[in-house]
Parts: sequence; structure tokens; C-alpha cells
Amino acid sequence: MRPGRDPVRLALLAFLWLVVAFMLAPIVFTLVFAFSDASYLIFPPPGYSLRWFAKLFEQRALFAAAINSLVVATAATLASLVVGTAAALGLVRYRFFGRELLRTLFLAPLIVPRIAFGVAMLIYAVVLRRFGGLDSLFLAHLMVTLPFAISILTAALVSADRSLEEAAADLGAPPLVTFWKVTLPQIRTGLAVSGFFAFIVSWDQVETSLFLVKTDNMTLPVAMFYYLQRQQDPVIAALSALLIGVAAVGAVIAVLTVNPRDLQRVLSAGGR
Amino acid sequence: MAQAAIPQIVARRGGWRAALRRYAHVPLLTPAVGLTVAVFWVCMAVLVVMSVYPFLAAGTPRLTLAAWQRLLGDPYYWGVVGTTLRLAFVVTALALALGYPAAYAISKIQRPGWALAAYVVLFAPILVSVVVRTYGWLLLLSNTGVVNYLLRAAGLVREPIPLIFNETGIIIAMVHILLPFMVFPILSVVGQVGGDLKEAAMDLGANRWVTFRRVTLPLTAPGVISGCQIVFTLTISAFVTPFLMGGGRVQILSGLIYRDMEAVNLGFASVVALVLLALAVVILAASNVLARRAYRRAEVERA
Repeated sequence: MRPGRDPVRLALLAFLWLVVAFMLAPIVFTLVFAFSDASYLIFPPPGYSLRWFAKLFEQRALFAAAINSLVVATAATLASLVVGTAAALGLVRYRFFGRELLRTLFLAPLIVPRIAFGVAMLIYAVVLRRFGGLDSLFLAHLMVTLPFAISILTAALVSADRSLEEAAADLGAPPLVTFWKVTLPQIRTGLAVSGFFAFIVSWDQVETSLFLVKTDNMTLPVAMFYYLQRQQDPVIAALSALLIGVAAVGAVIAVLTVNPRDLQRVLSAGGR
Repeated sequence: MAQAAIPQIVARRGGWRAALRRYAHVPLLTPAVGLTVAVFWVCMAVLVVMSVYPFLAAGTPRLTLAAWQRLLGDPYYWGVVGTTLRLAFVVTALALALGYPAAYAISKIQRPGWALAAYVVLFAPILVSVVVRTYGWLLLLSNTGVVNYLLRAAGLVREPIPLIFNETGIIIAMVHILLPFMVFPILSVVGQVGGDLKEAAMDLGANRWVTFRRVTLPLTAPGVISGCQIVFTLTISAFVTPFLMGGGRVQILSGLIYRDMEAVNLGFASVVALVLLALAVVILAASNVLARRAYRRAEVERA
């Protein structure tokens, strides 16, 4: 049978298109609602306008929350890359007692439900009198992003060519130079993937942040969550449209820079 | 050989350098260990302590098992645990029903451009905030939303069907949000199933269904199991989507935690958080046993 005419294959592909439509539907209709003229949720919209975008730009609280999110996500990403690379080097390049235990210690946060961790973080922050600050938020996010960074970078280091490092060391290069000139270029993709994911996970973190933020000092997803509970006017649709635009740019960058195989590995490892 | 040579060279350079090399993992690992222990592991201890000393933060430490007794003794809370698990089962089953054929179909696409497009569509929603995607489903499924409009326009229903503020809405939105985590693990094993094994089975007279059941399915089982693990554990711990789609009418463990945190009932929230954590750990441990068996079988079949 020719593969092109095979009915089972055609049925499978038709099914795939349905799944694709299912994945795109909420995103596409959010864009439609962002341009709706109505102040309530109705389909089809009675008319189209840009007034929700205008109203969105008056929302200072959402803007401040977006800045907070950017700051925390950037800090959590950089910290997980630096701390994660060091830890992965220690785990992969050295043999010592308790290595497996350490690995488990590092990866355990992935199993813990985020909202459970959020509860604990709040109590801890209150006890240390750091409640409501960006620093406790940063530490909470770091605990979520660091395990990803360590697991991705460990895999990257295992597949890096170690004989090159040894050659550099034999030729008298100091350890830091060897790391900078030989090791780092080899784990570039791992760094890009883990940085990318750390940023997304922190940027979109609700459960861990929910209890840690004060009403006047939020992160963007938490602010959106509370806004949706109060009212459902299309301001959130307009904001969502902007965020979808940013995500589309992110997707293009990801496609151009990240190898699908690496992506697959991250998502298969439970890259939440 | 090279590995054996290095210590000698190092040794010739001098004792302190050798010591530095031997213990270089200590400074490398210290920041990660310090942070993980000081933040994450202390947090876990805090949960346990809070669950038996609920008034610790208020400055009156008194050991009490009241919160545990309240949770374990009240059938209402067992009902909440039941709802949480039932939703997770349904979401996992549906994600598998959609994700397996989808992953299989992607592996069948011949043009690399189309395969990449399918990849991107299935992966890109992860980049969009969960809050935004849940909001999208509210727009689609509410009484005045897109789906009910289409159903009425097609003359299928006269009154809008309630699709949000109930389990239906939660399930639809959760399947959408977690589908990528089902598709990608399966995709990573489907590609490894060689065509020759399938052809051999067909040559031996097995029909398509038998070939699928006896060859493809066992070989892809590890991907299926890890996808189900991820989707199940993410569903039982999800908060935003079930909360917004359920509209306060469907109570699950994460919603219970939120309710008690809002009421500053930290002791009880800690107990519920620990129960949720215990569920996640037990389910992962049990399914890991399954996964190990499936891996061994897949290895045997491949060899």
C-alpha cells in the first residue's frame, strides 16, 4: 500500500489536525475577544474596537506587576544557570561519597506540588520577617527552576567531550580557562534550553507566588488571577493578546535556536 | 588511560594543587546544596512542624493533632481527596487518548516542515501563561461563549449547556494545558520503534491491530507511563485552572489549601499540603515500579 493513500494513516493525520485545532482554539478566541466592543463576555462580539487596549494601559498595578515578574524571572534564571552549572559540574566531573543522594536532594523539589511549597514558603517568610518582598519570591522561584537547570545541564555535561578538557588541562590551561574556553561552548545548548525554561517557569508561576505576594506588590500572573476573580471585562483579553504576541516571538526564537531533540528531552523529563 | 594520567601530572605539580583538584566539587556544589537545604528542605520541615504546632507563628507553641484529626476524621475531606483523584484519572485518560494518536501521527508525517509545524503548535501553548489559557477556555465554554453559540446556531441545543463552573470545564481546560506533557514523552519513544520490527510482524502474518498491540504498544510503554506520571501529578497539584474553571463549585485539595490560607488557617493548610505531597509521592513511587517493568520489557523486545 502506498503510504499516501493508507486510510489508517489519513485518519491519524485528520485526528492530529483536530488536536491542533483544540490546542489553538482558546488562544485564537482570546485574540478575537481582545478586540471586542462589549464590556462583557459575548460571542460573536457586537462590534470591534481597541478600547480594552486603551484601558489596559491605564492599569498601573498590572504594569508594576509585569515589572516585578520580569525582575524575579531574570534573577531566578541567572541564578539557576550559575548555581546549576556549578552543581552539574560537581556531580558529573567528580566521584565522591553521597553523589546519588545529592542528586536526589537537588531534584526532589520537582515532585512537591507547587501550592504545598507555596504554603511552606509563606510560613517560612513570615517567621523570617521577609513576607511580601521580592527576595522571598526570588528564592521560591529559584527552588522551582534550579532542579530543571541541574537536570538539563547534567545531561549536557555527560554528553560533552571530556577528552578536550583533559587536553586543555594537560597543556597547562588553568581550570577556569579550561571551563570558559572548552566546557562552556560544549554545553551552550543545555544552557540555552535551561535558561529558556527557567524564565518561562518563573514568569508563569502562580501557585508558589500566590501566598507570597502582597496585594500592592504582585507578579503579573497572580495579578491577572485576582483580576479575573473580580471582573471579566476584556482588559485581561487585551493583556492576554499582548502576552500571546510575546509568546509567539518566543516560539520563533525557540524554533530557530533550540534543537527539537533537546526540547523533547526537557518536556519528557517533566519540564513543567 | 587519560584519567589515570591526570592525577600523576597533578601530583608532580605539588600537593596543594592536587588537594584543590580532589576537593574541587565541594565549592562547586556548596551553593546549590546550601540553597536547596536552607530554602526547600527547611520548608518541608516547616510544613511538618506547622501541621502539629499550628499556633507556632502566633508565638504559642502547643503540640496538637487537631488538624490531622479534622482532616482524617471528616468524610467531607475524603470526598475532596476522591474528587481530586477522579479528576486526575479522567484528565490523564483523555490526555492519553488525544496525545497517543497525535504523537503517533506526528511520527508519520513525512515532510519535515509539517512535522516541525505540528511540534510548534503542540509546544507553543506552554509559552502562554496558564492564566491566559484558562481565560481562553472561559471565553469558549461560558453560557454566552463560542461553543454554546455554535451549538445553538447549529440548532443542536436551545438552552446553553453549562460547560464552566463544573467538572466538565475543569477537565477540558486541564487536558488542553497538560497535553504537551503527554505528547512529548510518547513522541520521544515512538520515533525509536523501527519499521523493520513492524514489517517482520506483518510478514509473519500479524494484522495491523495485532502488530500495534504486540510490537508498537510495548515499545512505547515507557513513554506512555512517563507521560501519564507527569500529567497525573500535575493535575492533582494544579490550582489556577481548577479554581477558575470550577468557579468555587468543585472542591479539590489545592482549592482547600487556598481556602484555608485565605482564612489564615495555617495549620490545616499545612496538613492538606502534606496530604497532597504524600499522594504525589505514593503515585510516583507506584508508577515507577510499573515504569521499570515496562522499560525492561521494551529493552527485551528491542534486542
